[in-house]
Amino acid sequence: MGKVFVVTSGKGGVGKTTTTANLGVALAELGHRVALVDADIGLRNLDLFLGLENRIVYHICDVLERKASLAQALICHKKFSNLYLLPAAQSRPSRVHERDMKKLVAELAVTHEFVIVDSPAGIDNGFHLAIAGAHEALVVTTPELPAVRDADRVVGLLRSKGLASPKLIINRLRPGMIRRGDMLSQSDVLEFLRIDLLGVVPEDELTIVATNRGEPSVCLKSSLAGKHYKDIARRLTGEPVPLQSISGNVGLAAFFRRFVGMGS
Amino acid sequence: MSKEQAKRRLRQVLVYDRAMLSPAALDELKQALIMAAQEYIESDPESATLHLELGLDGATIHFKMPAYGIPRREEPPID
Repeated sequence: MGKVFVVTSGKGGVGKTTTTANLGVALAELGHRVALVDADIGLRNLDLFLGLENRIVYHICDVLERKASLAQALICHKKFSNLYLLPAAQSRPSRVHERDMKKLVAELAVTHEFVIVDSPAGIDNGFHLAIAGAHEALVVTTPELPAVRDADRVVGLLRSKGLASPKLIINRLRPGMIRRGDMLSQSDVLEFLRIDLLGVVPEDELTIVATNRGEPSVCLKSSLAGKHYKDIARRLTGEPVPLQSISGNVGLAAFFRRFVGMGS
Repeated sequence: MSKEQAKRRLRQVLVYDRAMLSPAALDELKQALIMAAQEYIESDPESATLHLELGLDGATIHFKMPAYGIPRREEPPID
């Protein structure tokens, strides 16, 4: 029986879908059977991050409404035969039920070790549908006021829904700005959110290149964000990968960045 | 160092968010508490303060008001 994760944030644009795609590919690369579910119904995008946009026949609502079977709707990744995507619908049908979503993810968890559900922004119906059936929640935030505030709301909501210990991913940290005192550091964010930190991801221009190509950052050898996503994926498997802090201090991280910069 | 400003503002919004209170509702509460306290103590309502402290699952309300003794009540007139 696999584990069902939901990736959520409250605020839009903080990197939920990027995170889902990267963790999915990284876990598949480690040899696990992975199913990614795009629960952002109405605004399908996870397919683009994975380069699978031309392969969609059926979508999540077809499965929820029993118009298609899971096997029919799941799309196999081009490079990793152990990675599957259940795409979102482009419009929301009037009736999709949380109990059907619970059944759907439970069924996926029978044949996949990791089921990762990408939730829509916001905290309304779409959010509640996305978290239905999840065993654990991953909350993505950036070190900015609106994102941290919304993440705090989401943590409270998740707790009230029985997801008592969500794990935090802080995305788009900029060491230079942290050094100048113009950006909240990871410890500043943790001081407010008080949940376990699963990982940190630095701001990385290559993320945009990755999206352009339809393959997540973990596929790009020189991507620093990709390296951090790989670490997060390994932590999800239970491996005790030490947390690399993205601090403003000039140290190993800065040296490493320069080194990577020279290499590319 | 705009970070310090960010932290100050974040602490303030989170305290209201977690308590599910608005600054206006908090002011109403303060007035109600002053009214209630004045039944039992002689005080100076002007120097009463109320503030919220950020907690893990909500906020703690701190209400401070000086106490000078028992309020003098007007004796009911004796017929």
